[in-house]
Formats: sequence, C-alpha cells, structure tokens
Amino acid sequence: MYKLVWLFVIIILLLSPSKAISQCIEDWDKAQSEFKEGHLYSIPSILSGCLQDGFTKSEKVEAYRMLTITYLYIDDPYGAQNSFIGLLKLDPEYRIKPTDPVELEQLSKEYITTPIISWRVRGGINYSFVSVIHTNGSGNAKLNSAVYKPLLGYNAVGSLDVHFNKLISLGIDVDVSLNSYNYTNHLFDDLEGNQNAKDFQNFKETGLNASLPIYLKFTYPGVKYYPYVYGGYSPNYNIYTNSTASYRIIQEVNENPIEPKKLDISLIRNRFSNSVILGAGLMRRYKYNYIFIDVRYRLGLNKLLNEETQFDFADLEKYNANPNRYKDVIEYTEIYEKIDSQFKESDLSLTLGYVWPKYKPRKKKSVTFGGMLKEMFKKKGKDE
Amino acid sequence: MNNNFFSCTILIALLVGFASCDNTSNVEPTSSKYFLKYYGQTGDQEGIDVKETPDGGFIIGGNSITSFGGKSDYLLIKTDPEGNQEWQRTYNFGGDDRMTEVLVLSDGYLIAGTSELTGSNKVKLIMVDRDGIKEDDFTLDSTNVNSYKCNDITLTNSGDYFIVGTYDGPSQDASKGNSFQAFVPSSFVNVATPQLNGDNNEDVDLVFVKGLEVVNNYTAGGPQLNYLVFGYKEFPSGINLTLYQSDLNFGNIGWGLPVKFSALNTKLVDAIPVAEGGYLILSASETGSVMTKVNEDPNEERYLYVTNASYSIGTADISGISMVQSSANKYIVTANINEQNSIRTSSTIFETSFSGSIRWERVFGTYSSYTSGNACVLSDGSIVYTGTANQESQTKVFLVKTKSNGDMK
Repeated sequence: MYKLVWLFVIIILLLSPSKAISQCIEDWDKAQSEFKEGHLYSIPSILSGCLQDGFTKSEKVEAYRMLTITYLYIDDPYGAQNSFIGLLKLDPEYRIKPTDPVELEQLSKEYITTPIISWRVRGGINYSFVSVIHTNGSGNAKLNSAVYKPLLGYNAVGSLDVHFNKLISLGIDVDVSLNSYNYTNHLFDDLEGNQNAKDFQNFKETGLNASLPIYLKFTYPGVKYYPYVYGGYSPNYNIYTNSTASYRIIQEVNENPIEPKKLDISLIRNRFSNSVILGAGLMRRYKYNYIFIDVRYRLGLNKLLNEETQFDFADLEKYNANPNRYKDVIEYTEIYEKIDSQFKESDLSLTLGYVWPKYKPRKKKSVTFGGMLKEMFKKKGKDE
Repeated sequence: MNNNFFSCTILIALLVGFASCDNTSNVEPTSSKYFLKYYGQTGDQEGIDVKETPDGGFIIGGNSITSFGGKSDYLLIKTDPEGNQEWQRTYNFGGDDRMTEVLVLSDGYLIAGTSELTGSNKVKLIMVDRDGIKEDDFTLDSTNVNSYKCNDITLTNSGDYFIVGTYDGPSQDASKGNSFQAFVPSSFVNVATPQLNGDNNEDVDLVFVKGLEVVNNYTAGGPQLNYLVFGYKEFPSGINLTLYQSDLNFGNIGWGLPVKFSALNTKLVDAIPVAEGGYLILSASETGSVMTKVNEDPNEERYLYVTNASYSIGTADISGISMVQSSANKYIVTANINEQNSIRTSSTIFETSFSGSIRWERVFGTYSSYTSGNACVLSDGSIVYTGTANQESQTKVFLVKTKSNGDMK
C-alpha cells in the first residue's frame, strides 16, 4: 500500500513541471494572440504566473519585452519601466530589434546597459624573447656567439575590468606565467681567436612569474564581435627561475658531456621588474556572457640579472653562512661555465578566455567610481 | 565618470613613467669592474701567471696540452681590459714546456719557463711581440747536460733578467748543492754560466724559489745594488727557510752567510718587498700557510734579519701559492684549499694583514676542482688572478677580476 502511495507521489512530482511547462506554453500562445488582437490589458495577468516560474530564460526575455511594449501602449510608464528592468536583468545587453516599436527603442535609451565590472579568466601560451643589455659570458663577449631562442610557455590569468562606459574600461590582471627560453653557446676559440669553438653549452631557462598588469582598454561595441585594444603597465615578480644546464666538452673527436641538470638560479635573478603591455583581442557574445581571444606583448623594461648576487657564491663569509643557498649557482657558474649577460625579457602571449560581465541595469544618471565600488561590494541582501 | 577615466589614465601614465627602462646607456657594464672568464682550447690548459698590459688588458701565461698523452706547450693569452680574449698562442720546443712566469716588456712579452730539450730540462726564455709572435728565444746553459728548472724570473732595473731555480746533473756535487741563480742580459748574449749553490750536506734539498734585485741602504757603504734569493732547505728533520744575499757582482765574491729560520715546517712559495720596508715571505705546507717578516738593518752590511714574527694565515687547509701587496699592511694571497680526504681543491684569493687577519676571501671551484695561479694588483687597486679550472676530463684557464675590496658586485 505504502509503495503505491509513494509511486503516486513520484508520478505527480514528475508530471508537475511538464504540466507547468505545457501551461506556460499555452499562456504564451494566449498572450501572443491577445497582443495581436490588441487585447492588451489582459496580457500582464496572463504572463505574470509563468514569469514567476515556468518560462525559460529566453522565454522570460520575450515575455518581458511583450509586457514592456504592452505597458507602453496602454500608457503605463511605471509598468513599462519595471518590465524593461526585468528584461535587462535577464539580458542586460538587450539589443533593439528592427521589429521593436519606436517607443521601446526610446525607452531603452534611458537605461545604462553597460556592465559595471567584468570578471575574466583566460589561459594560453607565450613565447619569451631575451634582449641583451650588456654581454658578459664566460668566453669572449665580443664574439657574442650566444644564441637566445624563444620557447613555449604558459599563462593563466584572472582579470577584473572596471567599465567606465561602453568604450573604455580599466583592466587589472593577476597573471601567472611560465616563461622559457633557450641559450646556446660555443666556448673556447681557436688559437687565432676565431669563433670555431666546439665545446657546446645549452641552457633552458624557465621562470615562474606573477604579474599584476593594469591597463586601459578600448572596446569597439560591435554587433556580434567586440574588438578591443589596450595598453598599460605591469609590475612583475619572479617566483623562481631554474635552468636546465648541459655542457658538451670536445676532446679531439671524443665528447665528454657533463650530465644535464636542473639548477635553481632564482638567487641571481631580480625578483621585481616592470613591463609595458600592449594587447588586442576579439570578444564574441556566447549566450549571455563572452568568449574572447587575446594577443598581448609584454615589453620588459628592467634588467633581470641580479648583479648584486651573481658572484655572491664566491664570498666565503656568505657561503659559509648558508652553503646550500649557493650550491646550484656555483654549479651553474663553475661547472657549466655560464656567466649571465645582463638582459631583459619580453613575451608575446596568445590566450583564450571567458568573460562574466556583471550588470546593474539602471536609468541614466551621474555615477561615480566610488559609488560603483560601493555597489560592487554591497552585501547581496542589502542590495536586494 | 570623465574624472575617473582621466584619473586612471594619469595613474597608468605615471606608473609607466616611474618604471624606468634599463638600457645600454643607463646600465653600466660590470665587466669593466669585475668578471670571471674561462679560456682554453681542446685539451687541458692551466693558468700560471697574469700581468697587466700597457693597454689596460691582461697577459696570461700558462700551459696547454691539446692531445691526450701529449706534451705540454707554453700558452700565452692576451685579453682586453674586460677579459675578452684577443689572441691565444702556444709555443713548443719539442718536449714538455712548463711556464713559470710572464713578464711585460716595453715592446712585447717575455715567457720564462722550463723546456725539455734533448733529454734534459733547460730554462727557456721566449721573447714575443705585442701580438704574441715569437721574436727570439734563449736556452740557459744549453751546451751543458745539467737539468734546470726555472722557479722565478725578475726584470732588473737595467732591463736584464735575474733567474733562480733548481738544477740537477753531473756537475752537481756535495759542496755545491742543487739550486742556481743566473743573470741573463736582455740581448741574450754574453750570458755567464749559472752559479750553482747548495749546502754541503748531500741529504739536504735546497730550493731557490724567488729572486729579487734590491738596493741595500747600508749606512757605511752607501746604497748598493744587491740580489736576494729566497728559498728553503729541506732536511730529513724538517724545513728551514733560507735567504741569500750578494752584491752587484754576485758570482765573483760569492754568497754571504745565508739566513736560516723555521716557519712551522713550511716551504717558501713567494717573497715580496713591502712598501713599509723589508720583505714578506709566504711559505706553505699541505696543512697551512705562514707569513714571515724579514727586516732591514741599515747598520749591517749583510743587512737582512728575520723578525720573530711568523703568523699563520687563513684556515689550516689553505696552501699558499703567491702573494702581492695591495696597500699598507694589506696583502693579496692566492692559495689552494685542500679538501680533506679528497683530491679536490678549491682556489682562493684573500686579503690579509701580516698578522693573518683576513679582510675578505673569495673561493672558486667549490664543487669542482680549481687551483690558483698568481695574482696581480692593478693601478686602480682592483685585483686579477688566474688559475686552473677542472671541467670533468679537461682543465681550462680562468681569470677573475675583483674590485679592490674583493667585491664582485
């Protein structure tokens, strides 16, 4: 008996939504029919139930649109405004359709539909480029036989855009990147100083960096695609740098390779640096959010070799205080014979991302940045 | 809104402005102040001596073996002031050639060393021009079968060469011992036979390590040119350091009484005249290094006497190689650090006072094996020193330049 009761309850529960959905389809059809026949006053009551519960998001958008037009036609501005706000809350960037009446177009112009902020995440790849300021090197710096080659790195970025208007926004990123490049060189010239040395050095340097770019972004408000460009400044912090070192020594026809080894050389890298960033991208609406592709060039401004610590390992007093601190740098310098040049590092990144705009549709009035921040951090309960 | 926008624009502009851009014009190259460089070619090379050249660069003297089991050649490397190699040349005379020292002449360089020639070792002097092209060479006592080893060469005020070292051969007898001194005119002609010296005791090894030309300010006789030879005698019972003195006509009047003293059973490795007067001796063993002061007495014709002060310098594992004065009562010492229970050595350079208090010390080759050569104090007070870096199966020459306070930053 109990089993039958339970089965009945479950069937009722399963059928209820479908019944509600089918009821809302009927209501929507009825409302459309009434709208076409000009029986406008009955429409709000027909739609109200399903607007509360029953319509899908896109149906709700259509329903609010119909309601707004209805209120405009029956000369109920407050009803029209409330309905339009309801529409904008669901689709803040609602675009006026060619079939929309001019009254709705006029009403839409009274509202701010630009997001206040946008949260972004993006990830992708980068290539790092080294520019040498002064060549040092363990061999003849004047021959400059060293070759720096960009290697693939990775970026993971979280961002906040603060929108001033549809065109201009201020972006702040938290960018964590792995940057890599390769260094090769041949050591020891022949007797005449000619560059035909055979001993071969190879170093793959990888740095884990965190940066906080801040930039101004100009977005073109297109219809389907939203291209943008931006430029700004980025302080960077090097979390660690390691170098996978290898060295092949040639003795006549025999090679005597020194085993490749990954060495922590963070000690001889400047932790803090600055960059200028320039970028461009393209956003495309995806459902009610955006996806985008971004290309960014980060121009390193500062030298990265820490000249204060490059040869600290040789200072017996410092070494004795903490031998392990210097172990890898000693091997890097004295076994793999790598004397770093002074250099800067830039990178070009290509990332794909997703944007969650946060809106507060409202009638146009003067808005301050402080007010926006206040709104952003207002507790949800109070907000509502 | 406009205010916010412009505020942000100005903020970013200021941030970018404050973040100055480092470039070649505002970042000073460090290589003019300090560096670590390696030199070599295929095979094994070692750095023995370094001198500053008139153009502000450096000339490094050393040895090179380019093929497995091959003979050693003299090696000369010329660098610019930043340590970049300008040229590198080797010189060989058929057998093993071992560099002792390189001298800077007005028109080139002079290599002094020991060459294996037809079965015996000879002191070899090679004169090269500024580009390292050999112009002339000279073999000391070439017709005799005696074997010589060059331990030191000094450029005298007259431009000639004063050479000391050890010898071995039929002409060695119990009354003469086993070291020599020689005076070689810069023209390499009319060279007198080396004077052989030693102890009457056959069991004693006498080793001349350093020769100096000095002026004896003996009050009664007035200023008198002298030659000093510093060395050591190794008795079965222990080691004594020795000093010999002769006047301008050394070889004719013979040697004065040698001064002997013991310095913790160490062998003499270097001796220098010091600016404050007198001489400082660096001696070393496998287990430590000692500095000893030798003073002048203007009232005594044989005017040198040893003070009672001998001080150990550095730690017990430091074995001194060379010494040079950097400023008043400050001396730059190069040495090897002998790691216990290991064939591995590190190379060290440090500044010490006579009493042995070390002001700074730099060590190279902590995880490989480096050995020290000579150091040189430059006119601006900065310091360069050379040595040998062991890389797996090969050795290379290294050159380090530090600031006057030892800093490399």
